Amino acid sequence: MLDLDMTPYAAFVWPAWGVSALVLAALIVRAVIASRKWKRELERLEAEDAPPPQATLDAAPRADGPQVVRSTIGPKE
Amino acid sequence: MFGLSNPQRFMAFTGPLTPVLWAVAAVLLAVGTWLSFSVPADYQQGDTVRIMFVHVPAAVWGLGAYSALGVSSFFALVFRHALADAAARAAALPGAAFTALALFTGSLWGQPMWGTWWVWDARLTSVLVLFLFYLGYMALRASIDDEQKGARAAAVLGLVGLINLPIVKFSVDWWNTLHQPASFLTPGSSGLDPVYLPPFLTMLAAYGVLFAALWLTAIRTEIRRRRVLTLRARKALEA
Amino acid sequence: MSRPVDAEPRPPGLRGATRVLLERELDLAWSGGGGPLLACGFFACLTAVLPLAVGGDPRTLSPVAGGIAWLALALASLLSLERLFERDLEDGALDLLALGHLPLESVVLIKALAQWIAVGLPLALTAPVAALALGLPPALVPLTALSALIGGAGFACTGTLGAALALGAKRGGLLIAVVVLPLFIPPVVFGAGALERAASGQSPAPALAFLGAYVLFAGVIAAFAGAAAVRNAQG
Repeated sequence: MLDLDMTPYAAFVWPAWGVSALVLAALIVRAVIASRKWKRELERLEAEDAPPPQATLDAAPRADGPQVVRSTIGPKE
Repeated sequence: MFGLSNPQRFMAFTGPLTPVLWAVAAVLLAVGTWLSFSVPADYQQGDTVRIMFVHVPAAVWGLGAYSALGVSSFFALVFRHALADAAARAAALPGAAFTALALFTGSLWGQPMWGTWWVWDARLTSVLVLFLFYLGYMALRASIDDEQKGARAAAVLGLVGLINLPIVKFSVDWWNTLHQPASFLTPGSSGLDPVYLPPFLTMLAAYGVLFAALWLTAIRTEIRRRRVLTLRARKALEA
Repeated sequence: MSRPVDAEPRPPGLRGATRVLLERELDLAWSGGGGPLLACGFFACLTAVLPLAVGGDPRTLSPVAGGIAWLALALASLLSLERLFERDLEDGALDLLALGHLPLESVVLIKALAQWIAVGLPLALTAPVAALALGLPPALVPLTALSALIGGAGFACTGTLGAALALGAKRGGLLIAVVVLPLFIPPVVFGAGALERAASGQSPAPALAFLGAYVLFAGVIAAFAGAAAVRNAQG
């Protein structure tokens, strides 16, 4: 069974595990956020690159997908 | 191995692999944590033995990540391959974080065991130096504006660091014998009781798979980021 | 001194080129910005500030005198590195060097050698004085100078590599310190270890042998890695 009574070392065991968990969680969150960000950006750019008429329909974002943000510096077809 | 050096093939191959790694890491972490708190406390170290289950894997994979960084740097330098450079870059942050965790948990382990937060013993000092290597690598990479030049300079440093690491380790060990510290219990080396092997090995594997997942995800992100930068540059040219 | 520049009859051979480059490097190191004087001054300042920080009691100072001298030596060796390659990159001399007779690996080594002669040598002469002031037993003075001389070559090689890596970086000087200091650990350990062993009556020979081996190793690494870094910064 789980033994969660760390006395007299609770002040050492829990911070060690807690900070480890925090740092690992931060690493994971950071990796996932960065991954999503650049994936989205790449999809947006590739959708813009595709020939306009049919492809815009094909590459249209799903209803729950991210909003397509118009690039302010990109060409206005 | 070399078939994967094509970024597109790499993306296609690692696409399905990455979620599997994340899932395995999650399961191993959960099982490892459960095992870590279900084994009995050590008769000598008491409950502090449970710190080992997060300390040693962090130290091992902090070093493992640096090896990954160094070997990737080697391939980036010799074959001038962008994917290898992305791999080296991607290994730096998780590796540095693991090493920092090893230092932090090590000091939390040292306080009840040695009565002090920090002991200049060979093992801790080597991990500290490893952390300094990571700092130097990331500092160099960050402070050169030209991304490609920064990447290659960092690759040279990563490789030099990899070659230097055994020498630093040797010098620190030698330094340790010179100073003959009081013989205290060195965590992890004093014959691990077989009772602790299952949680220890599970956590070791969990950290390893977690590093692999973080690393692969970061490499994939880096490939996408570079593709985006190329597309943007092309658009800017067309406009 | 006053070599007629335009009266060069034939291109110098490899040995000639080596000598010319070494002379040029030494000239730059000695003349520009006070070179060795600056490093020695910094070294002296460190040694003067330290007793003020930890207290002047000989009982606390003298056991660590050798170690402190070595630490100050490592820090002082960092000082003049920042301009080592940057100067040549800015005025185009580096491109000429890369095109010249000598392979870039030798150019890097010669620069390290010049750095050793211009900075390491004066520091090696200052080190015993500083260590004596901190309370090092006088019998250890020759060993201090010798180990500082050998270690200085290691610092020069590794430092040259760091300078080459930091080419084109913002805040190069600080960056060189962060990159190079972890690599300075083996020479500091072996050098200070030699003094410590000698102080406790053991032979310093193994420590000096390790120190020498490190210098050879650092020379090889610095030549190849430094040349790679320079090519990268130029390309």
